[in-house]
Amino acid sequence: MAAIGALIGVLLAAAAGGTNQDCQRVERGLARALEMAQFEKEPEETVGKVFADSRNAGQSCPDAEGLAYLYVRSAELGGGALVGRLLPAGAAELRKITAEAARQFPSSARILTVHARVSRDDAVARRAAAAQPGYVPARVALADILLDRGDWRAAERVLADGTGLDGTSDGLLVLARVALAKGDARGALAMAKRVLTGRKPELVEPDAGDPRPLLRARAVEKQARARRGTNGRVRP
Amino acid sequence: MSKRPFLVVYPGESRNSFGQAVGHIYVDDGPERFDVAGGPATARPIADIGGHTATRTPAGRYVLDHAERHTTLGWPKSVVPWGARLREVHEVVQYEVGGRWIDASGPSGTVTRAYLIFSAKSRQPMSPLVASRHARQMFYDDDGNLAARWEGNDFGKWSWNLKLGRHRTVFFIHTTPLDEAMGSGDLELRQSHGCLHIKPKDRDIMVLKGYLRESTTVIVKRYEDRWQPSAR
Repeated sequence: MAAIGALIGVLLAAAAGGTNQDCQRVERGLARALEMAQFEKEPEETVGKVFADSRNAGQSCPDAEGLAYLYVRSAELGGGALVGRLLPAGAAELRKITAEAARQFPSSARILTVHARVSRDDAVARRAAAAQPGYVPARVALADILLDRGDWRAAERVLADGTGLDGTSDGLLVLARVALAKGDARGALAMAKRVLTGRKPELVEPDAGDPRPLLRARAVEKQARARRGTNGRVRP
Repeated sequence: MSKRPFLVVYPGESRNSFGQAVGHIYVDDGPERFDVAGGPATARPIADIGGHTATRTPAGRYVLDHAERHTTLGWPKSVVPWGARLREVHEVVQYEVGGRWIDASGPSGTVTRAYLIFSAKSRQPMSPLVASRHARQMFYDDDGNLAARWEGNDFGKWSWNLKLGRHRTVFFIHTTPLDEAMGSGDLELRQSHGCLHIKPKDRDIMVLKGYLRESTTVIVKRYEDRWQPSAR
């Protein structure tokens, strides 16, 4: 990590020059650091560094979509606070950061996806899904928002065949919630179990070991069990 | 004969720019002090990946174990001791401990095994092949250069276990790899998941002055406690 840290320091200095190649190198280094953070004892340090360095490098590389993505994603992960637990800049500041990036990169599916999750705006999620139809996190974000609004049928349609959900942080979780919403306690239980045991180690979006999907899956599991128990009692 | 110094830790005395509880280590209960950051000030332990938890640094009376280059299979980056020499033989990265070269990556690599354990405990199992690839990549920079020495151990260059009586605990006093990379530069400590984080330059001073050494008593106060000069 020290080697990566030192390298990124050198690259950041280079990025101050702002050539496309320099910007790409900084982006590669930070992307790699964020991907590896999930295996660290305290990933917050790396997330915080990626947050700060991508913000700084972004000033010299204003057209670098990759740096902007790393900035919003690391902000979403806490920006250096305990991953998935606290937002140091606060929710309003996070919304501001993602909205600004979405304005600057209106066709970036991954940036729009982060902004959709943060703003809970289904229109933004639809734009993200349309920008890159094969980008699964965008569809997951859209389904999640639709589900929050009570429209589990639409959410289910968006997730369609469910392929690629195990490569996202929370795709299987949304599917579990869909099952729960439509009264399929058994399906919800099975899907919640897949969240807890069946996600791929390498996710489409680096999540620095974000525990939120797992905690929410446990909650879904509990609800599904309770519902199944209730059903069992009322059955003849 | 001079009295042996003891350390008193107040983990929740102030807040850093992230709003996290941080505090100070007082030598002989003050006024000489050093910055420290413990675990999150939450009432209950927080479930963490890899089968671990993030928790408050528990209040108590501890004794420092010897200074060590701590290694553990619990975290992939902490398998190889800080500063160990690295080399690659037939696409397998090896590290040197006591004159012996040990496989880090590859099918029988120790880091490969740590990745497998970590991913299994995280319930995101990976294949041995993927684990080995991760284990190898860890030691390379973006330009494909192998690091000469490992300086990414999560426990920093040196660490001291906080023993309760004669028994080691899961808590250590240590620096972090990113803080080590900052050298003597100005840095802000970040919350740990339960250990006590200190700054590398403070570590060096505390070692030099004999504060951080085997058998030193360390009293960790509650997060709600505040140091007062009259408290001595």
